[in-house]
Amino acid sequence: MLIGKKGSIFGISYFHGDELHVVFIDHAHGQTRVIGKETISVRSSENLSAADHTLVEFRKRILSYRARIQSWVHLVFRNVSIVKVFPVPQVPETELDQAITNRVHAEIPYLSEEVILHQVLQEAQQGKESQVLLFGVSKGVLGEQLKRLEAFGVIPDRVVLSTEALGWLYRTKVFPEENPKDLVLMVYFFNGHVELLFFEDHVLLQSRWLSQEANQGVGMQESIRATIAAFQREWHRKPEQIYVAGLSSSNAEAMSSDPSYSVKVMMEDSNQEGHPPALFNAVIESISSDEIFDYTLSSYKEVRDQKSRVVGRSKIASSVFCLTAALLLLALVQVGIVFGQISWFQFRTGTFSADVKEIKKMHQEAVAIVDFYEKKALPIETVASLREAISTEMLLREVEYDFDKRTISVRGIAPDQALVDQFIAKLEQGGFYEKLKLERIQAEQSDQAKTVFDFSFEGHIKVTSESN
Amino acid sequence: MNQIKIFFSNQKNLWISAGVCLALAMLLIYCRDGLSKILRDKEKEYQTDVALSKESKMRRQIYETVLNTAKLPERKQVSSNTWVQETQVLVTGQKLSLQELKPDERGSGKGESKPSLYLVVEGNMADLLSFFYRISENQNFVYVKNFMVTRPSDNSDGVSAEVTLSQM
Repeated sequence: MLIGKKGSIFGISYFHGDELHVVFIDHAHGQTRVIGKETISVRSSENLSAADHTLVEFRKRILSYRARIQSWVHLVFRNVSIVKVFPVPQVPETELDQAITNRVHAEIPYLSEEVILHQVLQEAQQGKESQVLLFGVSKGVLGEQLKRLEAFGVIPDRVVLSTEALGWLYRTKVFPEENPKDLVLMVYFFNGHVELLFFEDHVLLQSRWLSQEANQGVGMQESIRATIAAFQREWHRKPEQIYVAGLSSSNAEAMSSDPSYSVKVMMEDSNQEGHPPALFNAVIESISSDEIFDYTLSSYKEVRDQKSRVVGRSKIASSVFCLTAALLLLALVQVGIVFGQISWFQFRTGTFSADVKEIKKMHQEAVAIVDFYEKKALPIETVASLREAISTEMLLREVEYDFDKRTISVRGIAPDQALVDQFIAKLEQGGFYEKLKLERIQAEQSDQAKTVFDFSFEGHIKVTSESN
Repeated sequence: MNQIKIFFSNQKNLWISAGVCLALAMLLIYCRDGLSKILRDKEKEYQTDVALSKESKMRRQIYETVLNTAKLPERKQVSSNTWVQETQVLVTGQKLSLQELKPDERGSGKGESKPSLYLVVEGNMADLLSFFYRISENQNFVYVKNFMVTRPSDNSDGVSAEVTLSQM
């Protein structure tokens, strides 16, 4: 069953023995629940042909989830990694980076090129030494795991180390605010193995991995005790408190029975369907807050980034296509509507009787005649109307007439401003002009030293032929 | 359906399709503008028909009156030279002084194919009016398209007029 929208679903994959496990978790509004689990034997899948039904079906199921997943995280466990802690070298600050690099090369047993390294500076409380926490994951092991995942069509968005996720869980969920002064051991049980993390304040001092299969003869409790004893010998200190987490009820009970430790079960993973283990919650929340290192191999990062670029470009292309297709559809609809309207008017025009058609023809002829006489007579009527309306005391300097625009423009001089107003009013009353607008009127001295008013106005000539 | 899916899963195909859609949309929008003009004409024609059908009797009477009382002269194309000569005679016949007379080039090549004549005349206002009157009385399709009459600043009775004659 695939529930939940894209954006809230996370895929977490991990290898356990010969099996690849994939868990799909819906993480929305702070609530998490498992919405799907897939498991396939890696050994048997290697023996199967690519077209085998089991393999094809598994890949199909994975891809159907993949399309809806926000982020795919591959979890690497402590057994394929190294975790080292050493004090920050006492050197000037400018030489610190080089000193740490030298110490890292001294600490790890392989060539640094064979391991993906990640170092964290752990600030201790006052009076105590700060520590450098060094994580390393073998490129060979990681490459093998990613190659197997790729065979199922998956390139993870993040590769996370379980120790880092559990450290994040301890600092943010177990002791988010207070710094416990005592030495604390966090024991996390998961799928038949256990990871032990020794903390002082928020500083991780040591991490150990124990497998049930490897310790069958001795028993898990004995192995844990032996590990604690080894820690005690190395650090000359004993953890005062043990916090147990994970699928651990029986183990927790067994540990509680030991009076030498103060055991507290802090987050017991439920066996109920739908509840993801605390480790998975920690993985999802830590990657969401971007507080955890990504161990993805650079070659896979390139492929992943390239894929994400291709997907990005595809999205842009799809959006542009949708937009242009919508534009085309809109244009088609508009053209269709105009066509429809034209057809409708053509149809309606065709329904009129022959009598109307004859009148229409007569109308066209009559309009042509009226237009003919209007064009012929309009200049005379224009000048005549001006002569009729003008006062004898006024003098016109310029008259401009344009038949196409149906406009007239007049400029002249008048002894009195009121005469200009009367002139314009008379012209409008005559009904031959409309929208007459005084453009300018300015007092000037005439040759006889009298004050005259230079004026200009323009307006429209009323036309009758087009309106009929 | 599957083939369509495969086709659109290719980015190049998507871009080409988007380009084709855009080009088609632009073409259709261009066609729509032309069709809108046709639509306006059809609508106007329809509305005229509606108006005619409503008052057909009255309109028939009016149009018959107009058609019976006035007739358009016979349409014949006057050559440019003939027209210039006729106009020259008309101007001088009205005691106007012809300063300039030439075929008008303005407006040619912009959809205006009607021939025009540009002339500058001088004389008094009454003679100019008489000239306009003669043009209106002539049984041809020549009319005064525009004019600009100016009076010189010496306040004399004379006027100068730039006139453009055109044929309907």
